[in-house]
Amino acid sequence: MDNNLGVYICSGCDIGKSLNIEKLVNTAKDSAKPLVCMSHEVLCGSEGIGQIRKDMGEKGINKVVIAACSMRAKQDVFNFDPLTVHTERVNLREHVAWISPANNDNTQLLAGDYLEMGIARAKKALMPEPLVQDLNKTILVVGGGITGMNAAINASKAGYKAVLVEKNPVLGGFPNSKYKKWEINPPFDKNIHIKNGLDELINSVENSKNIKVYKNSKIKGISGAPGKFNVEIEPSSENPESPVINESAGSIIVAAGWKPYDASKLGHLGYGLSTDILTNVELEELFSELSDKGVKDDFTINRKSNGKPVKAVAFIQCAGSRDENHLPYCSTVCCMSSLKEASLFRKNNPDANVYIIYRDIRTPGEYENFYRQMQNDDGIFMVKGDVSGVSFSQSDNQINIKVANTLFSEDINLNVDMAVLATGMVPNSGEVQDNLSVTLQVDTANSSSGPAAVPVGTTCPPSIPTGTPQVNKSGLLNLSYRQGKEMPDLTYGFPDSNFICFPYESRRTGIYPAGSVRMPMDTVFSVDDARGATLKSIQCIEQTSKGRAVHPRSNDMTYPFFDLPRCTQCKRCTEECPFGAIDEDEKGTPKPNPERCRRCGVCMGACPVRIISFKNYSPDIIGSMIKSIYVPEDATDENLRILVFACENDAYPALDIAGINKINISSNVRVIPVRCLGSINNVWYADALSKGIDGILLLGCKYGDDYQCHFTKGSELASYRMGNLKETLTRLVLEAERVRQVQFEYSDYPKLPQILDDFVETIKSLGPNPYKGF
Amino acid sequence: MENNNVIKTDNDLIKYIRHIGDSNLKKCFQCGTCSSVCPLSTEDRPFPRKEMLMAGWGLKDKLAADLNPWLCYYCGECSKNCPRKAEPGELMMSLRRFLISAYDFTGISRLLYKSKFGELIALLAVAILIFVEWVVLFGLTPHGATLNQAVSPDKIDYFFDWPLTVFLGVVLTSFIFNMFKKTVLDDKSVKVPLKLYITEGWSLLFNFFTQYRYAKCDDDNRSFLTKLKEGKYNFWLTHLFLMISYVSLFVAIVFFLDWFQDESSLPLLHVVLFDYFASIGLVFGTAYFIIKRFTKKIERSKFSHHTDWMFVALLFLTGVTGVMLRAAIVYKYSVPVIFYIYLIHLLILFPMLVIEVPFSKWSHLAYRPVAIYFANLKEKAKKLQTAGSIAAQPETVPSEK
Repeated sequence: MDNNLGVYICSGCDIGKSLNIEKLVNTAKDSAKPLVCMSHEVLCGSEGIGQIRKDMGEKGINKVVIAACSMRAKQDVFNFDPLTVHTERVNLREHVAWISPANNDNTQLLAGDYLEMGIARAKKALMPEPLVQDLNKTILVVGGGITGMNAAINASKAGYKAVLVEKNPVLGGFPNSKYKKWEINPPFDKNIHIKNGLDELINSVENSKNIKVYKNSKIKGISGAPGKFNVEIEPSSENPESPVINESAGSIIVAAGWKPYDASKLGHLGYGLSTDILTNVELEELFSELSDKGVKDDFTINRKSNGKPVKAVAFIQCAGSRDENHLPYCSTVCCMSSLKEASLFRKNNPDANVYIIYRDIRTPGEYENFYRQMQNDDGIFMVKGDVSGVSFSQSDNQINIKVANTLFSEDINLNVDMAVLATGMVPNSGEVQDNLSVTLQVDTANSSSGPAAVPVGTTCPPSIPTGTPQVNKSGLLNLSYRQGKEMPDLTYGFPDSNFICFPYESRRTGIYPAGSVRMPMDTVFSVDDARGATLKSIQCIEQTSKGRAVHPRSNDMTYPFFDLPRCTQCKRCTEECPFGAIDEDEKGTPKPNPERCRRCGVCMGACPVRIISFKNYSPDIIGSMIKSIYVPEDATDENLRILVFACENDAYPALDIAGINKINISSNVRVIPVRCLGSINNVWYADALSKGIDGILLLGCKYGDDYQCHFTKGSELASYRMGNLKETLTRLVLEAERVRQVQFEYSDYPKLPQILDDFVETIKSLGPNPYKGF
Repeated sequence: MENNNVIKTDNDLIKYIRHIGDSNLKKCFQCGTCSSVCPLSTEDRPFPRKEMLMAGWGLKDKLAADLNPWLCYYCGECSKNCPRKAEPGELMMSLRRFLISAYDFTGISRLLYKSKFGELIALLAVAILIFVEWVVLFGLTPHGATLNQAVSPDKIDYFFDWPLTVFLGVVLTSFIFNMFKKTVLDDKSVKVPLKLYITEGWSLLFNFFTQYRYAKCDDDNRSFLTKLKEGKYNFWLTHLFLMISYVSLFVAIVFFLDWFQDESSLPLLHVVLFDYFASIGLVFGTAYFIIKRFTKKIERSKFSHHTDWMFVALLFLTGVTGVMLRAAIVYKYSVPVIFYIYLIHLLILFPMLVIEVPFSKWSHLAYRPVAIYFANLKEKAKKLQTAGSIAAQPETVPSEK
């Protein structure tokens, strides 16, 4: 392909006041011999843009280097067809003019380096060739409860076909067998039949032409990738005669819902002592039974043990919830359901006293009004406290509940006829496979080689930090992915990605959990959740069929290319891909699935033989950028060179913000944005250090339990790989301190000068890189 | 052991408490704002938060044994700051009414608090009794040329004042003993040593005569004088003025009735003390509280129960008729005029004393200082106990023989 380079330098926004533009133009002309090299006072104005477009038309410019503002600014203006033109943005404004002293030699050097780096990259970058395919646009919905049905209907309304798989013989999910739910509209003082509107919903699902419903069915297996999932559906009850049905799908919404926490583990709360000690779900079943499945309302709630009306009932909130030994989280619905059940007791057994022992009443938002209504009932008694013991007296058929740490400032005892344990929600995210060891672990065949034996960039370091072991599950989606059968859990068994930034995202592209399988929620929230997940899955189908990435690198048209003949089958990439995008054959050769890929480049960073590359992002391209940095041989403090790899998601924007705030930053620093710290290939360290760069700083997202990495474990991997690197450095008689990773988030930008200065000081104390000038 | 502290919720009590006040007790969600803003609440006595919970649960025995309502002077900070508008200040007021009925083992005060008509009928019954007694002793028209001939002060003493005093003394004392039993004797967690009853006696008298806790109802740190100037102490001082006037008149009439019926013996002290100071105190004080209850501008007077109205109204009328009677005597009105004013005065005074003193709002005059005294006793005793148990520890070391 022709490299018809055009270099355009903007002198607006203080750039011209700070730098010698003429000198920059000459630098570019001398080093790169571009077809066009010019400067303009307002490059983003119609005249500047017009000139660029004119050059493209007349001179066939296909590599545009725009040395102006940050790549994050004016994307709408410098917006050229990415398929025919490579646009390289050189950040002379935020990263040079606004952070460095004006008309200073070092500032000029900084600008010159950035320009050279941009040109180096532009020369090597290729235009993406998107994988445009005619893909299946059906949405597979797993689970026919409130969330699943709503998702299917939303998909249908948006013009997409849906396949809905429900394991039970009937649609409706949890509410199907229950009695009433709480009022969700003012004045919040009554309850409504839970089936209110449910039949309508079921009818519209079953009568929709766009929705194919498989009841009494489950997923036998799913293979493929977004846009071409192959789904095997089998009957949920064992019936050898029923056939396995094959369906195709473009994306998947998992609305498998929840199951109540196993109350048999709650012996300390008296479960099992008496038939009158039940869980909230069992109480719902009792209500449902007494009301003839919601037909009659005027029933008396009788004790299960002797059939006499209940006179006193106690609700024990957080039964097994918010408890490290059971469910460490809050299920959000138990407070409301207990209050609702309390109101049913008060209505049906007007003489009954209802006691609620809570740790905190959590009735978010408008639900607070329902709580207030119930609170004001003279027969409902609530107190904060910890249940310290539940006993049952056979002789008088009474349940005794001991409550400690109450707000009465003393321990109390309650005698009741019935006790209800408000148990929490457990996500139906697959069954844990006890017989299989944890996946995603170090592959023993390869890890035995160890990190110490081989030089930088050519070694197979042991893969995968073991900090976040994944539990091996199966039984829900049964994916035929190399990394396991189900979506990985984020925490507590909920298959999420990082829901602060990307709700509905799992760590499997094109598979979106919604409803209470994603996080505990009630039906009202589930309806909203179904909406969000449907939009996500539509987005995924449409983007994928255009060859574009979905979240978070939306619209990226590149994808990793594997030069397989050179592959050593080390399996680094197949193990480390955060999204399980890469399968492998029996020899260990990767089988990439570009539709599952999110273009983070973690595989590229992992590959010891550098066979993985993107058209515009590769070990070679970034290597060229590093090599184009001018490193003065004269080793003074001013001439120290620090290379910063900045994550494009948080660190690079933070650097921009520092620029916008005109925060002074050391001119020793050269920044290269990376897709993710996980995409940093160890060869770059070698490139930089052998060139005489004095120190390398990695600015990237927080990792660990509450990680902020957009690709879930890129920054963690970078840190892990650096561990191996340091041993190599030591052997090269280079100090390990020359490479440092800092966990950094967007709002940390005021700390940037400090972070950089600290690192510069460290490097100063180490002295210059001895390889300078080699 | 197994059934220790089993909670018994009394739903009727909750209804009763709702009936005798305007607190939204069930709205409380136990945030504790009330206790933290209360200038009088302490860590050991987190009122009114705990009272809200006990009342909301209808814990009758615990409430009856609780002294805290008497330690509250209803500054209203809690009600003002309550995020749920649960009116904790008013709950404390309701609980004081409940406590008056709880100490009264006859059940009369519970009746009075429950029913407006009950109170009216009771007052009327006493009035009729007094009227009959008067007619029997003095006739329907005055017999004699002078007041002392028509209405003999001795007879008033023997047949009215002294029996009443004995009655009130016996009834109130027994109620206070009941209170003592519920709040001090039955509290197994603390045993008050005899000596303390004497050494802490000062607090009973001090609080009775100064109502000093009223002043502490305002916990900002500015000087006493500044706050006095700003009128922060108006309520307290008026209340104190009224109480002193009432008590001094009551004592004077019971023991020196002769003097009141005789315009000729006029030592200056008596004139100043009774004709002016006490009369003004009684009339002005009651008028002040009546106005406050009408305007409802301050938290203390926002809600009025029928017993509150009856008490101030009767006290006001007692004061007014008493002043008229005394004026009629001093200015030498004709005997029949004085005779009838006297009768009217007694028809108001006696029902008020017989009904209000032991069974209704008046009784707080007795219960409050006693409650503070008991609370002091228990606190001191607890301190001694903890100090004792710490001191007792070294004794466990075996001593040398």
